[in-house]
Amino acid sequence: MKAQQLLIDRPELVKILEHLVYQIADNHRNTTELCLLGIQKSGSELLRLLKPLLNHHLSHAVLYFGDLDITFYRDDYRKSGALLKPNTTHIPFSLEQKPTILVDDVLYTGRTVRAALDAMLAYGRPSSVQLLVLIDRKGFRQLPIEAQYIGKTIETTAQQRVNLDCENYQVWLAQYE
Amino acid sequence: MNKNSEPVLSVNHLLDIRTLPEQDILTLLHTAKTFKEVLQRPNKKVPALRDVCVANLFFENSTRTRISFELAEKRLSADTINFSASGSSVKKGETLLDTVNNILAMKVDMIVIRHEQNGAPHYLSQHVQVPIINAGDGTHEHPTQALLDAFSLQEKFGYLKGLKVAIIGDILHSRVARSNIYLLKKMGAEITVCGPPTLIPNHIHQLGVKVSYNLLETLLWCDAANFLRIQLERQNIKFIPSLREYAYLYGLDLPKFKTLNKNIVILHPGPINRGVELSSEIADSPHAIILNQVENGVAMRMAVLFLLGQKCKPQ
Repeated sequence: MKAQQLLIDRPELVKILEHLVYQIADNHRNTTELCLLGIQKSGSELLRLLKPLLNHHLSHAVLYFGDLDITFYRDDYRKSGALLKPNTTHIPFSLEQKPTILVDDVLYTGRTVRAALDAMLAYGRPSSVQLLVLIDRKGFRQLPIEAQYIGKTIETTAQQRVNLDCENYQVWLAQYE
Repeated sequence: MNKNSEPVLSVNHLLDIRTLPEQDILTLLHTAKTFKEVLQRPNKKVPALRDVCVANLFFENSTRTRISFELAEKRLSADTINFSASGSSVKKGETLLDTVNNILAMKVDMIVIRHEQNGAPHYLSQHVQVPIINAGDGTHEHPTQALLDAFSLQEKFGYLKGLKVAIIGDILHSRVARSNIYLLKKMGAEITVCGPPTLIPNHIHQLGVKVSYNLLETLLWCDAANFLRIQLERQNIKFIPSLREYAYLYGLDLPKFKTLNKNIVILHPGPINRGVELSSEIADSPHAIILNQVENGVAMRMAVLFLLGQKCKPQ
């Protein structure tokens, strides 16, 4: 890794998170139950930041929070050089016939979301599925996947990576060789 | 999608516990936990190994291990081939290496092998390119059994370091005992082996275990007791005068358990000789985690297959 540049600072991130939750609350005015699944690991971390805001602004609905690990559903097993290590999945409720929102930090090629859709189905058939991402990296999509809730859209190169630092409420853009 | 770039297993085969690094054991225990969660889902199948073909070569009889491996493979969406020595060309005199090479020529990606000869999986690993998983070789080792026993103990107690574990019965012929001793020692547990003197190997204390010939003393000392099966098929020479005497001295029944006045966790790798090592009241009591061991066996074998499967590139 060569250098890191700050993409979003704390005040901006707080504003973006609030805006995302307003959008969800607006779209789900009449919803009585809503499932939110964070894609491990960064998506789960992002969902933890969103949780208090969601509880506040969607108090009319029953909210279910879960963590979804996609390791066993990836399409690059034995194909990429990197070896895969699974994280935990924790979904102590059924998704059957409930509207569901998948939460991830970054939308890049779309393959993670494809795997997440597949993994999610092991827990039931949701009535609808939406996607929330904090950062949309335009121009790299390899699958026809788009997000309904987008925090910020940015232009990047393939040598860059976006890192969410939940502890300090910051988003960094890192440059790789 | 390449966020986890750390190598997760240092070995290319699972041949024994003696040479398996501690970090690999921890990785396997962690991964098995994630698969245990998979096995609690309504849909227990994941597509991770959908383009992998596994051959289960059983040159020796097995029910539990074979079914456990096969189920683990199916839950991971792998293709499986089952081979048992009876009814195969092995009876016509084909060598082990020829048999395996013929199977590999059909583009198989991984081999699970049980063999009556000690070291058969090691021998294969030196001659073929695919990952080899030892499902028990002679009286040498049974690594997946030790891993699932450790996983079950960790699940029950929450820790392994400092845990007092007794291994009771036929230590001499037991690959389960050997693998368990190596693994639990690496994880920092204390071990006492207990059984009739004829079934305790000489110099076993060199593995860092205590030796006892008194069952009650051992049970009073331990937190968990792993009762081994008396291997009737390996008793060509009489090591014990009679099963009745063995049950009297080294079997656990309810009256003996009550005199202990403490709770211990009972393990057994199966199949149980009811009334010999354990009476039915004990085997079916809440103290026994024998069926948990069987359930955890599938999760642990899924972990082994998933992690080693990444080591072979598509052919």
